[in-house]
Amino acid sequence: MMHATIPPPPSSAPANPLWAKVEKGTLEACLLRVEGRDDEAKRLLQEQMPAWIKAWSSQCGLPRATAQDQLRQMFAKTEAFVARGVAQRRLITAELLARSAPLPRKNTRIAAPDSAPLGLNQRVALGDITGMLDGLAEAEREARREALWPLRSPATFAAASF
Amino acid sequence: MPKASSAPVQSSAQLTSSSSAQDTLLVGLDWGTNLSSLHAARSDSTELVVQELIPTVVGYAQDNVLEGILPGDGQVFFGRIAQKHRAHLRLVRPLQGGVIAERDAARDFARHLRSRLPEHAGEIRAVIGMPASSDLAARENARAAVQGVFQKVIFVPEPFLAAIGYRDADRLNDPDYLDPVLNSLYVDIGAGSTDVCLVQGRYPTVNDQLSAPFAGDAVDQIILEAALATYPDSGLTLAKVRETKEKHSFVMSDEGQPAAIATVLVGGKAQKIDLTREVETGCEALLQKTFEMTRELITRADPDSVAELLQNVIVTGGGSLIRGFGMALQAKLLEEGFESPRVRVLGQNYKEYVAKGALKTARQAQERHWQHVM
Repeated sequence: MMHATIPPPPSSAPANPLWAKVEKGTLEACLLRVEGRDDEAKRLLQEQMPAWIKAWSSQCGLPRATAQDQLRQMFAKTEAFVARGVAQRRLITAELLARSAPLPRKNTRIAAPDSAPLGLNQRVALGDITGMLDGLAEAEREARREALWPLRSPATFAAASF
Repeated sequence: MPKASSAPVQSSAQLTSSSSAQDTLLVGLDWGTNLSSLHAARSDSTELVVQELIPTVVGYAQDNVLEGILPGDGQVFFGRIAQKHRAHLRLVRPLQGGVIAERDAARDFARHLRSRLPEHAGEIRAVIGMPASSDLAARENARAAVQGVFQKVIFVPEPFLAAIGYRDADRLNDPDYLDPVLNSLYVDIGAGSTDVCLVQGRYPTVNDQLSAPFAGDAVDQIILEAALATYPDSGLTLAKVRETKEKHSFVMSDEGQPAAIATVLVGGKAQKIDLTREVETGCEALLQKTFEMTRELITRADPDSVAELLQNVIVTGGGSLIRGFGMALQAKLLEEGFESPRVRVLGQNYKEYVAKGALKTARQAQERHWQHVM
């Protein structure tokens, strides 16, 4: 599975289809590792990328040492790019959670939740699993809206009207 | 009813014909405070490739362990292996009250769950049971713990999954089949919480459920405090109390009740202490709490449904294994004036029903229901 929606890291070489393929493969391998899909990353790195790198290096016209240096730089840049992405995701998650509930500190005990449980607000027949999942998704969306913009929730607005 | 998405509808089962879903592994997980149940099957097959009960515990090697003591001189162990080598490990229970309490241990445990699944190149999607009382923060913590372990997840309250798993949908047209979830009251007594919910042919709404953070762990604490008051120098630990309770817990004592004897080491010498009264006190407190919650929910049910409902009070979870619990709850309901109540005990099979229901749900979930955990 390629991550088409994620913008690529800044390219370290002029446009070249083979180079682009190597860059894309490197990014994909890094993302697979972040996702914990080590076997797929390993397969990509060991079974597909060597051929792409060989094809690029034979056509790029660069001295061997220069080509290797360019690859190393690209690997480092891609790793840094993915690491930045992971850090940004953590910060955004932390911010969202901080607005809804205290974020537990790493490896510390977390107090039992005392906010509202997420459950169905309407009746759904037992045979209707998709209806149940829709209901739960709606309840979660509502809880997120309430956590992020409490003053804009219908319940709060209604209460404030009296 | 919420509006359905206008996107093309494809269930996980329907996806099996597409190339992307042929290699999707579906997981049903009951991530319990004490015990987790893991079921897995490929999306294009009904055959279970994994069906496993794993104690929810992580053991980290202590600093001073000599070489050759722990298997493979490993640093982290899980489940029964961790319990077996507890003397040389720092045991951590990642969950409390059914929700994640130790984030790093939860993540390590989630990775262990992944290691129990077969080698799989494609996507792994999991439906994960959550306590009925869990909130948004609890889900976010669970989501963070399974990042990099599963690609997509759905969180569903455990009572829903138990109902789906317990019901044999293939036999609904069988006139001899008694649908157990058509009109029943479920009491789930776990380690961290006691949940009671009405299941009357539909999924329980928020008003059909009650949850209290009073369950097995609270009973352990009561027993420990009472025991230390009686035997202050016994060196009793919560782990020893739990072990004794799991062997000897009971309510409605009779003369045939064996004594709850704990063996502790005091100054290196084994010493037996009788915890029968303390165990009874703790278990009776849980019975009383459960009875009060059950009574409250019965009064919320449609009066016309109560007579049938009282015939289907189902007690599940580790707490249901307390000797005499079902009978005692039934007697209390009868004393309260309820008409001919009938209480059935399912025991730990409940965990299997949750995981089974989770897998059924995974098969029927539409693409719009799955949440990315990247």
